[in-house]
Amino acid sequence: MKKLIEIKGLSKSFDDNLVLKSIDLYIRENEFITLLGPSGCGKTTLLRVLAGFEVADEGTVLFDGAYLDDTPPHQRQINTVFQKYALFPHLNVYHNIAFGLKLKKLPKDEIDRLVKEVLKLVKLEGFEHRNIKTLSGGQQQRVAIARAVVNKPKLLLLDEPLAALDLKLRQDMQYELKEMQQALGITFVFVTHDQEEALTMSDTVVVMRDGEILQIGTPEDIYNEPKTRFVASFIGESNIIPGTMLRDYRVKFEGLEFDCVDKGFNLNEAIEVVLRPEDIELKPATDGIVGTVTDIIFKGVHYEIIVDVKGKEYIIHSTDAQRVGDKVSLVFEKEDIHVMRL
Amino acid sequence: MNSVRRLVWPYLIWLGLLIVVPSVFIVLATISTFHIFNEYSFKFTTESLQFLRDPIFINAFRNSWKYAGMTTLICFFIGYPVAYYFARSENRNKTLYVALLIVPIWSNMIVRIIAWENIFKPVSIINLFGLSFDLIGRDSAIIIAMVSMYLPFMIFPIYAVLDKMDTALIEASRDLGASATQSFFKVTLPLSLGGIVSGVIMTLLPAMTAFALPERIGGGTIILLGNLIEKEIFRGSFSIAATVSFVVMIVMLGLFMLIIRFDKEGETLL
Amino acid sequence: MKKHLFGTSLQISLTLLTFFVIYLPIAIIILLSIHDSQYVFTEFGFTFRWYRAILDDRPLMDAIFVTFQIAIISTIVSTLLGTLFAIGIHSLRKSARLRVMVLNNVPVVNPDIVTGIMLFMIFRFIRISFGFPTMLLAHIFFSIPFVILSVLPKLKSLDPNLFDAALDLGATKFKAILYVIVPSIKVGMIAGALIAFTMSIDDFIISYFMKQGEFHNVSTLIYSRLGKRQISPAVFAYNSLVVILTVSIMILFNRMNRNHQKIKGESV
Ligand SMILES: Nc1ncnc2c1ncn2[C@@H]1O[C@H](COP(=O)(O)OP(=O)(O)OP(=O)(O)O)[C@@H](O)[C@H]1O
Ligand SMILES: [Mg+2]
Repeated sequence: MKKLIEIKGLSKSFDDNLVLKSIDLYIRENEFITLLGPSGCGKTTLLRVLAGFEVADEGTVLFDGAYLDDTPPHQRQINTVFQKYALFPHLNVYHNIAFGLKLKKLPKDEIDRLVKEVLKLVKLEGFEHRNIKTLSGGQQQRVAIARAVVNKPKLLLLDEPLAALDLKLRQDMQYELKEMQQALGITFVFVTHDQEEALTMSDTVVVMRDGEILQIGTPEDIYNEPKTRFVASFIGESNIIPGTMLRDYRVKFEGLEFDCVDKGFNLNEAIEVVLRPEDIELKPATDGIVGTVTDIIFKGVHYEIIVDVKGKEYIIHSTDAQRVGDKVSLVFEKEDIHVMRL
Repeated sequence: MNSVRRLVWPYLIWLGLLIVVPSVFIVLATISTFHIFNEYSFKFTTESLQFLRDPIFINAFRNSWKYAGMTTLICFFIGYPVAYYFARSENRNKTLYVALLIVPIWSNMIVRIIAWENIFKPVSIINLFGLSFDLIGRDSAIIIAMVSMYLPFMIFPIYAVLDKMDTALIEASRDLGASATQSFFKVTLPLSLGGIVSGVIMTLLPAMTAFALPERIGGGTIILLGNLIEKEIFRGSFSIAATVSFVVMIVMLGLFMLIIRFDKEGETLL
Repeated sequence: MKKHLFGTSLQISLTLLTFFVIYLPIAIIILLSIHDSQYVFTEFGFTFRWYRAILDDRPLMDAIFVTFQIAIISTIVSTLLGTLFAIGIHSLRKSARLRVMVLNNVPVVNPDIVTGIMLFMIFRFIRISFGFPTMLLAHIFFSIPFVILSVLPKLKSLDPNLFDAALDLGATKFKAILYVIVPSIKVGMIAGALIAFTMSIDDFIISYFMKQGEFHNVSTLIYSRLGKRQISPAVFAYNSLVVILTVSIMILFNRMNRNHQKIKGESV
């Protein structure tokens, strides 16, 4: 698919604080791309550069192959759903949504039609005359989305649009947003620091830290093949174990050798191994990695079991309970061993 | 909103021209022969500074502190409880009552001074009620008139802070075992310091530099710094007026430092 | 938690005392404005003639006209400029904002007489002719900081992305300010305008330094007449009219506000 946005060598600093460090990224048409990273890593700043509210110190942004850098925000075919919505408090739902259309000087009946249409899309029919202060958080969020998409942008930027909602509503909205994106055929750049949200919704996940991109990939890639320890620990829970890559397809950790699917390392290179808690199975102690169950917590769908292996704690998710004090063996497939460079 | 930062520049230029430049003039006029009325020469001289030792100045300086200080003190002890009363009041008309304190300001200041002059002189409209005072030139008359003039300026800033203060803070302190009196001195009072400082400044400085009021109520015999400045500048002794203004500015800067400590952006100044 | 400090009765007495000291001069002025004689106070003689005398007092009428002309123009100009400057100041980073606000607050704290002298010197220095132009500039000068002080807290309470949201939806900077920021801070602007108007109407000291020959606003006119001992009760009549008008407007406002709240069913 065609590249809609190309970001090349983008850097931005506030005073002496380097917030974006030479970012390279392209975004394809119709893609649902998520920027994921801890608070303060520069996600909002990157969005604001795309929207035109901040000027990058270095680097360029191409939009549909044309330089975007000198286009002021109001002339970009990009709209934003802001972190706390930024709805206009003095305007009702209708006028908030019609704001952009009126600036384009569309005829009144056309505006009416478009507003009706988008209200239907966000399931807020009949809310035209409501004061925005009387809306619930979820409804405000829908108005914010409606206000942006009604302008038919080519690119929609969403800055943690679900952060203020409670868990249930949030899950519903995740689903609806995804549906909306497919129905509208608009490219979405979605910011979150919730890894689960990123994995459920996106076509592509971009993991950031301290103004740098650590990894770009499909949710499966990111989850299964984290490239660094940070990505591994940030995306889901994991057991991270120091080890050595003996040669291609052969790794050693916890004093034992295992087959694996990774290759391309130096002989005897020091590495780290990621084992996801749900990939480990517990068997009555025989051979392999053996430890003692020290704690077990019921988590609803599964149990979280803590196993002590020679002083190191492993987290295991399992639908079968164990008893504290039991001796167990940790069993896993070779595909479940993820090797990371240090 | 970075793109609207440019809007600040014209304001800085405006303030620079109308505050910084004349401040420099005042300093120059105090310590040199600089004089805006005729030539602009800068020969360093302590001639004007000598005036600070003149009994006329010393007397005016003392008077200013005496009357303005007394006025401020009285305004504080009346104003704080009043502000407190309004802030805690649940009367639905309380904003109206607070607003009614502004009304007298709409009545011309000079006219209000004339009213007090009438009250304090023996033959006046209050004879109609069988009353007659002869207080023109007395300390009490000046202080009463000043209190009447400046009391609202003590009440407003204190009221503003107290009204905004979260009553849960008082409840929390009571909950933690403080008595009503302790809560007041340990929570309410410290939190209203910003308002108090603003109130004190808005009372003290205008009172110190008043000239119409002392002239009328003082019967022409009591001279404050304000009278001195006014007389000297219209007599043409620009450097003396500047020197006295310089002294006032130093007092102001001292008080200003206090404000900056308690209320960085001056939100209590309104 | 009903227990009040320094006893409620003391608070109430002090509040009554406050209103008494503040309103006593007003009452005296009203009394003077309806008392027939200027010099004899043995017996009350009711009259309205001083109110009619306002119209016959040419210099007073001129001064009233000047006062309102300057108040209206300086209020409009300082509200507009003050709002724009406040928007600029608000967009600064904290440290820069604090520094600008220190400068902004100098005229607020500065005693009027010092402000008067400063403006006197600078206007003299750049040779603006004294009278109407300097008085107007002076009033704009001392009003702007108050407008800024009353607009700034409103700006702070806005969603920080409001302005960007307007740009995002296709508004130019100018339209974003006009259609989004201004309506959201209009309460602060109105408050600022009211303060500016009040200060302008009331000002004596600064105007006194801007005077020129027979050009007067009400304050400087009365002061000059005081010196010449030719004060006419027409002045008191005018002043009483202003006070009565303001009080009525305030009470009316309060009524309207309350009814408004009842209709909307929410308190402001
Ligand atoms: N206008 C600004 N001035 C100075 N520093 C800023 C500004 N905006 C952001 N920063 C700094 O840049 C860094 C990145 O901020 P950014 O808002 O992009 O983070 P984020 O990833 O969106 O975080 P969050 O998840 O908390 O929203 C932070 O350290 C922040 O303090
Ligand atoms: Mg953010």
